[in-house]
Order: sequence, then C-alpha cells, then structure tokens
Amino acid sequence: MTQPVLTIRKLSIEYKVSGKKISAVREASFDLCKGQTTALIGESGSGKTTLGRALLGLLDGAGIISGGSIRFAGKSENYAKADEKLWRKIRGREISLILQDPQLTLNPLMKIFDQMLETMRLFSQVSRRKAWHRALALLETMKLEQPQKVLQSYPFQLSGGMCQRVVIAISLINKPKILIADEPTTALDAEIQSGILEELNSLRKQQNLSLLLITHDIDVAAKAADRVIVMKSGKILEKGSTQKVIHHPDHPYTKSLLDCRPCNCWGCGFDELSISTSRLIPSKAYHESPDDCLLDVDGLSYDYQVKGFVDTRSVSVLNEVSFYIRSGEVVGIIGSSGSGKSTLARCLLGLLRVSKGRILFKQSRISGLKGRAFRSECRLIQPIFQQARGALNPGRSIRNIIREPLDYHGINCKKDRNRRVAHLARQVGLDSEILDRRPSQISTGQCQRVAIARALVIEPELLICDEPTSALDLSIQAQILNLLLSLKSKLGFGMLFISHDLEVVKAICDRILVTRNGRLYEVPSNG
Amino acid sequence: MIVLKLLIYRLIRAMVLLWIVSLMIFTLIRLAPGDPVDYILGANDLAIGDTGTIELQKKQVRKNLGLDVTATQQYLNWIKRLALFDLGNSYRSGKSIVSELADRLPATLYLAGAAFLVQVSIALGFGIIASLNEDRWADHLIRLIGVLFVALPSFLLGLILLEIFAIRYPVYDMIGQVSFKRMWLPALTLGVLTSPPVMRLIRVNLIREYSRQYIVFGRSKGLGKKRLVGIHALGNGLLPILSVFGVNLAGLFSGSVIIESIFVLPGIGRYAVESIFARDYPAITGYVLLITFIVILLNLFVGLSYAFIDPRVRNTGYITK
Repeated sequence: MTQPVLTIRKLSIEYKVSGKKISAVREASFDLCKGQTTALIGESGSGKTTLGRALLGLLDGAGIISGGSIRFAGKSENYAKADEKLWRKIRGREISLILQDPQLTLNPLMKIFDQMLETMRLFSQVSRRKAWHRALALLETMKLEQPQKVLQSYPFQLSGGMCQRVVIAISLINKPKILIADEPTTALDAEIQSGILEELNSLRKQQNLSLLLITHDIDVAAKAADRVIVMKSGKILEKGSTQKVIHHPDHPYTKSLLDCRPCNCWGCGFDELSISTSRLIPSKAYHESPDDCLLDVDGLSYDYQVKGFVDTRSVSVLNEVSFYIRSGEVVGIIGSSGSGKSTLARCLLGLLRVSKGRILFKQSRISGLKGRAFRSECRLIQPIFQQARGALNPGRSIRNIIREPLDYHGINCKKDRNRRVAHLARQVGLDSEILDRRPSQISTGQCQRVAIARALVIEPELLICDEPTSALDLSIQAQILNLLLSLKSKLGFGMLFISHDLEVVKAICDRILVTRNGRLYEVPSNG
Repeated sequence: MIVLKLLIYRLIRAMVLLWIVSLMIFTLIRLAPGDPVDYILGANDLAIGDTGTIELQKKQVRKNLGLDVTATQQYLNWIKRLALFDLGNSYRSGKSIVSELADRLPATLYLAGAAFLVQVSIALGFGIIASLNEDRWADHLIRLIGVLFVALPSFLLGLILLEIFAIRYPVYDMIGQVSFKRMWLPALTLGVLTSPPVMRLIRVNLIREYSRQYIVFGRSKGLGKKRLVGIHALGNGLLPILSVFGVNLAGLFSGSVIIESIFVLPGIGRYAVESIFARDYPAITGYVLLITFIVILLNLFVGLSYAFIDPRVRNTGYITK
C-alpha cells in the first residue's frame, strides 16, 4: 500500500439544529492514498456529503467537527481544529472539490476564462496572456472541443458535460494532491457519465491524484474505485478493496445494497443505455389499434413557447409521437434528460395543451378537452411524480391527502371514504398512525407510498409514473417498484412508466419505447 | 442587435403608456369637484359686483382659459400643443408650464438622485453586514433599527434633523440655491428612511446566494471572503433586485413631496401640491406627465441594464434560469 496523503481518525461531525445537536458523522477513520481512487458510498442522509465537505473545512454554518483528526501528509496541524485562515492555505493547492450539478458550480455571470483566471491568480502572479495559454492547454487535456470558444463562453452556453469538464479543469489548476468528487456524474446523462469518469481516472493516473469519489451509485463505485467505503447513518460500516467489498461483502447492509440493484448482472453499466439509434425503429401511427386499447396516442406534437422581451419563439419538444397502451399493460418510456419524456407525461395528463395530434382514452378523445369535461373524462388517469414530497400539500394530513380525490369527485359517503383510505394505506404498506401526520413528518419513501395511494384511491385504469423512483435511494427504490408491480397484478391497471434508468424499465415493463430528440422509437423485440 | 430591438420595442411601449396616462389624468382632473374659474376670480378679488357681472366675468375667464368648448375639444387642443412640447400656461401665474417645471426640476432631481445614492449605500453596507452575521446580534440590531426607521414618519425625522442641524448646531443652511450645502440634509433624511426595505432584500438575496454551489466551489478553490461576497455573491444576488431599484428611484420622486415641503425646497413636488389646491389643470397634468415620463425612462434604463449585466439576457433576449 502506498503512502497515505490524508489520514482521518475518529472524525465526528455534529449539526446544531434549533439548540439540539444531531450527529451526522460518527468516529469515521480512513486513509486516502496517493494515486488511488476511494469510493464513499451510501444512501442520501448517510453523511457522505457532510464528511466530504469537512475534509475541506466547508461545513456550513450549523455543522461543527466535534472530535477526531484530519491530517494531511507533510503538515503538522490537525485540521479538524483548523480555522478559516489555516484552511485557506491548503484549499485548492492540497485538496479540491467538484460537485454534483456542474452548471450550478460555475458563476453564471462570469466567462469561463475569468473564472479560471481568478483561480490561477490565487497563488501566483500571472499575466492575462500567459493565463490564456495555460487555460487553453488545460481545456485541451480535458478533451474539450473548441477550447477557445469555451473560454469565451458563459456557463449557460455550455452543456452539462462540458461544464463538468471545465469544473474539473478549474479544480486542478493549482495542482492539488487530493480531489473530492461529490456525485460528479449524478446530474449528467448516462452517455456523458462514463466519459467524465474515464477522464477523472486518466487524470488520477497522470497527476498521481488521490481521488475520493462520493456516490450513491454502487455501479459507479465498482467501476471506478480501488477501495470502497460503505457508510450508513453517519457510520462507516465496511471498508476495503473494491474486489472484496463488492464480491464478498461482510456487512449485511452492503449485501442488501448489492441486492437492491434492479438487475443483478455485472457490467451492465452505461453501455447498454446508449442503444444505438440505428437499432431503433421510429414508432409509426397505429392505424389499427388493438381491441383492448386503453390509451391511443396518434401524431402527438408539442411546441414550447419561449417568451422573450421582444418576440416569442417556439421550440419543438415532441414531434409526431404515436403509441398505444393496452389495458393492464406496463409500457416503459426511456430517454435522456431533455428528450421530451416528461413533456409527454404532462401532455397525457392534460397539464400541457398539445399542439397537434390526438389522444384517445378508452376510445374517446381527451386531447383538447377543457375544464370539467376533461376532469370527469380523465379521472381514471392518475399521475405519480418524481419529487414525492413536493407532490404532497405540506399543510394537510396524510389522511386528507389520500382522501382528496374521493372528496373532489364526490364518491361515497364520508365514512366509506375514510374506510377506503385506511384500506389503501394498508395496501401500500403505510401504518395507520402515519395517516394523521403531515408530509414533513414522514420519510421520502413513505411520501412516495402516499402518492401511490392517492393515485389509486379512485381505482384508475392508467397510472402515469414520471421517474417515480429516481429521487429515492436504491433500497427504497426496489421496495417501491415491487409495490407498484404487486398492486398492478392485484388491481389490473395499466401503467406508463417513464425513467432514464434502463435497468428499472427492463425490470418492470412489458414493452419499452425510447424518446430521443422529441421523437419516439421502438426497441426491436430481439434487442 | 437584441439590445437595439429591445430599445425600440420599449420606446414604442413608452409612447403608448404616456398617451394613456395623459388621457386618464385629463379626465380624472375634470371629474374632481371644484372649478378653477372660481379660484382665479376669488384669488384676484375680481368677483365684486352683482351676479350678472360675476357671470360675465366667469364667462370671460373661461374663454381665456379655453374651457368654454367641450371636453373632447379641450383634449384635442391640449394634445395639439403637447406635440409642440407646449404644456400650456399656468392658471395662476400665466407663465408657461414647461418653463415653470424646468425651473423646479433640478431641485427634485438633485434630491431624488442624492437620496437614491444614500439609500443604496446604506442598504448595501448594512445588507452585507447583516447577511454575513445571519441570526447573530449584528443582524438583529440592524433589523431593529431598520424597523424603527420604517415606522418613523418622514416629516418627524425631517423636523428632528432640522432641529439638530439647523438650530442646535447650525451646520445646515436653510436658505440658498440648489447645492450640496442646501441638499445634503433632505437627501440624507429621504435616503435613510427609504433604505430599510432595500436592505432587507439585499440581505435575503445574499444569504440565498451564499448557499449556492458556485460559492462552495469558489471556497474550495481557495477564494477569499472579500472576492466571494463582493464579486460572486453580490453580482448574482443583486440581479433580482435591480428592478426594485428602478421602482424605488421612481418612488423617491413622489416621496420628495413631503421632504420638499419640510425643507422648503423649490422642487416639482411642492409645485404639484400647490397646483392641486389651486385647481391649476395644466400644471397638474404637466406634473403627472413629467413624473410618468421619468418613471418610464427609469424602467427602460433598468430593462437595458439587465441586458448589460446578465449575459443570458444579452445573448438571447431570454431569461433562461
């Protein structure tokens, strides 16, 4: 084993919330070694981000290091007790950070070059000219095309992947020995993810960097890391070489994490997601839809109107989309962000007015319907959204939230409604005591169960699920998917399941469609 | 190109707006009770004699003022003259409104401009201090003082300051031309009184920016507090407040009415109040049009400044946040 560049011993971090102390990290100990990638995995709320920030002294106001030590190789101080002045001496030069959403990581009002220049000028005097050449060279090593143009651009003019490359270039300007990468690829599309990971890997080799990769994605960790640390509820449960932790995990939690992945085969990472376009068949208008057709979409187009100061321009988001769903069938729609899949869901739910085409639900046309007519026609189509907590009114009790559709449509008497709510809550696996709480008092997974119960309470025939599990941790994701499937086989509703995750879609869908640039494609059955 | 298009579009809108305002003020003023003829006759002590003579005099005055035709005809006449930048003559003095307003505008411009500078500097300074000390005693103290100033009526603070600086320690001179010596106290009064809401807004916006990722990233690069707050956070935090600045500056023009009266400044605010009491139609209309024009101009300026500051607006004409 090589020399550690960073040694952490019994590090504890606490948050002060309204006078009370809440422990975020408990006695964490590990080393970061030269030229190695260490992955820190855990679900959200496990304290992995807090731990990563603490290594740069970047805990926000309420967080304090309550014990332990952080020691950099060649420095005598214990940085667990360092003040801002001491930290500023090593930030950027010894240790650096890259963050989840690259577009938000850069100042939106500053050109890329100016953001690089201010970083170069931190520790040395550089002329603008010299800095320009150095910046160009740096962007070239990051494999950015047209680096001159990039330097003169503002962050909003670059794509997410380009921004992340710029961010990495900036974080390495002052040659740090350690790079903390906090979910560096989570906000990016699958196709760009692997490119960024490869880039990080080759930089690590070139510059002999020590890389701490913080991620919730066990596949990313397995692919990129030499060593893995598993964290839960602020505690390190298991650490060791990737080989050992992934293939022969000791701790039951690690085992359950591995089992939670929707697909259990190894190596089905990013490659399969990028199904090549040549293998796809454009979905045609179905002139003869099957007899048991539940939803029939024909030539649906949606144009997004961007209102400016002067004029309005229109951007085509969906282009002549046609497909059908049989009753009781689960159809998956997969596509990268911006491909129009969420817009499609919104059109089907009547949240957006379609520009062209028609939507038939149980043989009657619902596109173009308005107000009361739409609401009564379409109450048998119910949505489930990605942000479970955001989809629930924070001021109402869970019981009221689930009962609302029944109240609105005036179904049954009040006593029957409450009985139905209790019954459904049991079906989706919610304790009856939860019914009197408010959304802020239950977990995200429970929120999604509530959203499912609310969608199912008026016995819909079609559920439209827009990334229902993307915001959830792996273990909870599996629970929710299993719940949806078992409810489906019990209640027999059809489902349109939208996701960016091929694994998830493969696991639960009968048929898969792919959106790309606003068009819909079918995956051939042999693929 | 986009900036030019924006300018033309905004100018056309401004013209339409001015026209609507002129129509409204013309109508409203004539609907209000009171007759300027009575005021003029009473004021000049001409109304002596029997009722017949008075009626004759009234008729004569009405004809002189151009009020003997229908309201529509009056408006058309007025618009015709407006096209030649003639706002008519004052009923009271008989002098041209344009020159009367022009005489009084510098004092108000000076007052509003100086008060704006005071307002922004106080709001920026204390806003930044409060944001950096969120929820600590400095923040609470600044908030307390801010509430105090908002609650204080402007005439009261004006009178207190006059008492202190003009009478107890006579460093302020109540007499004289529009100059720094004459204007600093009223500008300070107006600026201090209007700064607390802006200060709170700056504080909140800065605090929100501090938790943004680019600030965390800036710190991880090794940037110091001064640069992070002064360049990065302030630039982004002030963007949404720019339009508030425009509205506030316009508000300072109308807020100047009371301050001008207390400090006896020869400004358009005081002129407007006097004109209203005298039912001086052309003067009131002229004042309202001038204020409308200034407000529109300021908003135009704010709109353009967005294009200069925010690259997203400059390059596309669209806000894409």
